[in-house]
Amino acid sequence: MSTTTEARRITTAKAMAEGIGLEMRRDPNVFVMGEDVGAYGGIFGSTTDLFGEFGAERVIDTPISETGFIGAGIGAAVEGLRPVVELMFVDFYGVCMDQISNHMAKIHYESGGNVKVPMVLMTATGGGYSDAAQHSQCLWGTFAHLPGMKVVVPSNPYDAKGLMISAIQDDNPVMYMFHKGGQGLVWMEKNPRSIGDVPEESYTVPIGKAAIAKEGSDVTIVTLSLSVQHSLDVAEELEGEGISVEVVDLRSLVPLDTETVLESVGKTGRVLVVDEDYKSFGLTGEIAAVIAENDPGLLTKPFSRLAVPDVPIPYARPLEYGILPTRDKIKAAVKDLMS
Amino acid sequence: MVQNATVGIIANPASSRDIRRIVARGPATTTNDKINSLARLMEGLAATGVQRVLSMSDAGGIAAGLAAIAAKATASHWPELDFVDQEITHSPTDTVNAARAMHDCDVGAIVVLGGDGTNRLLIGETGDIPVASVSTGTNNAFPRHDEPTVVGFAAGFLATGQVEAATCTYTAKSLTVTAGAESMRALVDVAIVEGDRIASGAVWDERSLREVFLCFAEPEAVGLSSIGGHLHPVCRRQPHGLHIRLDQAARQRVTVPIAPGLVRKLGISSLATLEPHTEVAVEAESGVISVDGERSMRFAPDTPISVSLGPNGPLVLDVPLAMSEAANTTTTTKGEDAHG
Amino acid sequence: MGELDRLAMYRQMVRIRQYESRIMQEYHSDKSPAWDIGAGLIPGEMHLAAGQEPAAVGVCAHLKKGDAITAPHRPHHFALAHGVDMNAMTAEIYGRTGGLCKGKGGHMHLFDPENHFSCSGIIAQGLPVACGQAMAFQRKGTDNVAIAVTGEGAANQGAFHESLNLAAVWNLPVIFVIEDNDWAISVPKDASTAGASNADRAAGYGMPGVRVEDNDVEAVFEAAGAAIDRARAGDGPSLIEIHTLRLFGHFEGDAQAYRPELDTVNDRDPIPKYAASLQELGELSNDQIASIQAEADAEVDAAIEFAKSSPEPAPEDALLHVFA
Repeated sequence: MSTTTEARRITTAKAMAEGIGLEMRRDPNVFVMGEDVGAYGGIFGSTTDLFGEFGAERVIDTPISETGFIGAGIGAAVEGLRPVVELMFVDFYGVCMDQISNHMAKIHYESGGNVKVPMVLMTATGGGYSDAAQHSQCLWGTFAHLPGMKVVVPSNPYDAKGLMISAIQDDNPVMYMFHKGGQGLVWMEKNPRSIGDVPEESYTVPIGKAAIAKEGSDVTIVTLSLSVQHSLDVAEELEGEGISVEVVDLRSLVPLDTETVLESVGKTGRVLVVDEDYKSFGLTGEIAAVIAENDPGLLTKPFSRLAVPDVPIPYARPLEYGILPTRDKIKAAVKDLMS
Repeated sequence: MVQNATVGIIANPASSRDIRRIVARGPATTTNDKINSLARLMEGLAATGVQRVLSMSDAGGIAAGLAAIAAKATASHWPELDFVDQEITHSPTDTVNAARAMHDCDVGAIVVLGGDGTNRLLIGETGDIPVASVSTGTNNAFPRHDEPTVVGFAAGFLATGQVEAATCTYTAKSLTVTAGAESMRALVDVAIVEGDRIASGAVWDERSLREVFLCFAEPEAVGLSSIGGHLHPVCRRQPHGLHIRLDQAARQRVTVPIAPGLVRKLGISSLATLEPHTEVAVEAESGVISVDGERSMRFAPDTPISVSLGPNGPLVLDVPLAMSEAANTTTTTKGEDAHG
Repeated sequence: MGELDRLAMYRQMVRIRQYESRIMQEYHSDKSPAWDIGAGLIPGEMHLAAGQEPAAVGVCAHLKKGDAITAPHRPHHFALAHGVDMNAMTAEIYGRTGGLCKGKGGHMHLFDPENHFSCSGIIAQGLPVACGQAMAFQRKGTDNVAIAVTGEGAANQGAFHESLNLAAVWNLPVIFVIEDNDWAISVPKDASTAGASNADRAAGYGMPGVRVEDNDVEAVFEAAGAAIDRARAGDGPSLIEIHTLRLFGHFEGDAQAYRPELDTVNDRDPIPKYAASLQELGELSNDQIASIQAEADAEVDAAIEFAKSSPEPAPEDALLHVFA
């Protein structure tokens, strides 16, 4: 990491867009395409100000043809360009999953390593604002489960920029999954942690390395995305009540930094995995398996997890907040571990 | 009025699909457009009291599409629709077989949807059954551009005897080109082309043209006949045609549309009228003979080639004449339909 | 459009036919006694393109270095016609380390980046990728083109429609080549396709569509040449639908009980027809026919030998090449 020169406070959205912009200035092969990424700046701000600097030549608005333009991204990447393609909502994966998992993720392997697909597929995830079942999912568990693509999930502006730059520079296909609620958008609920200090210059955040967002000694929360912000809020509160919570921000799911997770769990002996994706057959189960197969003896309390139950995400606020892993639920789960 | 009048229809599924979509600006007349044209035709036929239509069978979706419309309640007033029982070969043979079947059934008229290439296949097959042509091909020098509904009226009037064939039909001229033992017929043009490629058929490279024989040359036409049409127009009713020799180095030049949207400069070394019933010998090294704009026959060096013109093409229905005939012979009774 | 080299096209078609015939033989030879798809030196599915040679040879005659092809699950003819090395391709089909993809891909996933050739087993999904390659050529300012090959059944898949629209709206140098062999496995075209013509569909997407009816390599040559010239000149995409002939089954092991015209297909074989027409032109002699066949025999035998003597990969190699 380079020396911090200038840092200013910017939103997660602006930070990720800045990362894309720096790479576009450095490398003429980088270009962006997706729905409304041009003058609109991306529905969730992912390409803020890029159109103004680079124009329609390099920031391309596509028709509503996910299979078409994601496939085109793959073809361009195979020919040596470095496209950053946006899938507007991760929930739209159904209409283009073949290109993503059977092509983008597999071409390198199927070719015996002879063909590279240096592509970033960025996509908006997450609920909490009543967008209901088809527009509120996280689904990183699904993408992490399928071989051949890296999966990064930033939780704050600093990581958002650094991970984006790393993702673009990576010669592999990278799913860059950002939370809508964590973008710092003026038209969504304000999350103070969605605005933060971000250096102006280019820097990378390593893919495959988790971060200790807060050090602690009593309980480990393993989490990602917006839940990191919620967990940090809870940890601050509980500090005042004498409970020391360590928050492990995974940052990447593929590769998964199991070392950092096991080290933290070994230190505290108590683990809570907080995941806004569906509970069964996903990330929380994966962490449990990692602990169990490495050393179940690390745990002094049973494994604990908080995830969205296996139901479609409902519309009405009381219903939706009934299933999301909210601060209250996180706090209660931590206290439970301490009882 | 002839009761139980039958009209034949031939629609070529292959027309408007060849390479001239790319090398020229050939129109893309889709299968749906052709089906739609046939449906319009049926409406015109129905209005004149035609009882039955016999259609060519095809595997290109036209017969199926027309049958689907005919089966609906909204088409219950249409003539009964039958299809020629023919083996489909995906080749020009299908058109020829359909024409023969219609001739054998002695239909009152045949309506053809296609370009010059499609209409050419009817030569010698239709006897004295009048033929009306609706243009849907790429090159439409021979077919007229009348609206199919109106062609339906005209063909229907003829088939039902409400107008006389003598007043609104004429015999088209046709060319016969013989190369050694083989011979072919043409309704518009015969060209001697350099090279030995038959491949995609269409003629679009003007530099390869050596000689052109024309049945007629309308100045408003597109295709090889426009070469004559721009220099020395000859109409369909005149007995003679034209014989033109081409040479890119010649001083006399003419700029003509040899295909839709394809305008080219050609050098003319000679132009003469082509009298009927006269065999004209062609002197050429090896090459290809094209008929009605399609490269069709290769010939080797020293093959004797000759071309002749005669009034031996199909009997053609003049749609505007038929319509004015019908208007002139109508007797109207108050409150009743003028026709049918 | 380049020069028509009849002998070269004939030779290429014979070479491809010999390849497909020998692979068919080899594929079945060791699956006995009870036919087991997973058994033998060539395991898995096999889709052969015998009869479809004119499509590949007529199109590839116009391609140059840097031009790309994405092909479907029946790729051998396009691969060979585009210059993919026969030895490496065969070794890949045999699942050996000397194969194009070190045994990772197999017959449906042949990748040759040198020749910008790839194929995929998911119907129609190579079309968007070809659009992307065309997009890259456009952005780099080269006059290279991408050829997107698929079948008439595949033209009902969403990716086909998205790709045609994308190519037209962005004016991409991509040519869509539809091999209409009448059968989508066992379903005939008139049972699956409204409008019955992909040349018509092209018009609906704002690009010219041409249909080549008779599986004639020279007709394909001319149509493809015009389409490729157009794309190289920056005039955008087009579609060529070639009515071709699938001589064998959809996959090897397909009894084709659904196919009524099966006993007449050999009459429509394009290669003897082309040989006859070249002989008539005086451009092919009986001696040449024999020597071209012998050359093809030898080359294919050598490739199969090469494949058989290439080592099998070690099981642990399965974990390699996930990420670069």
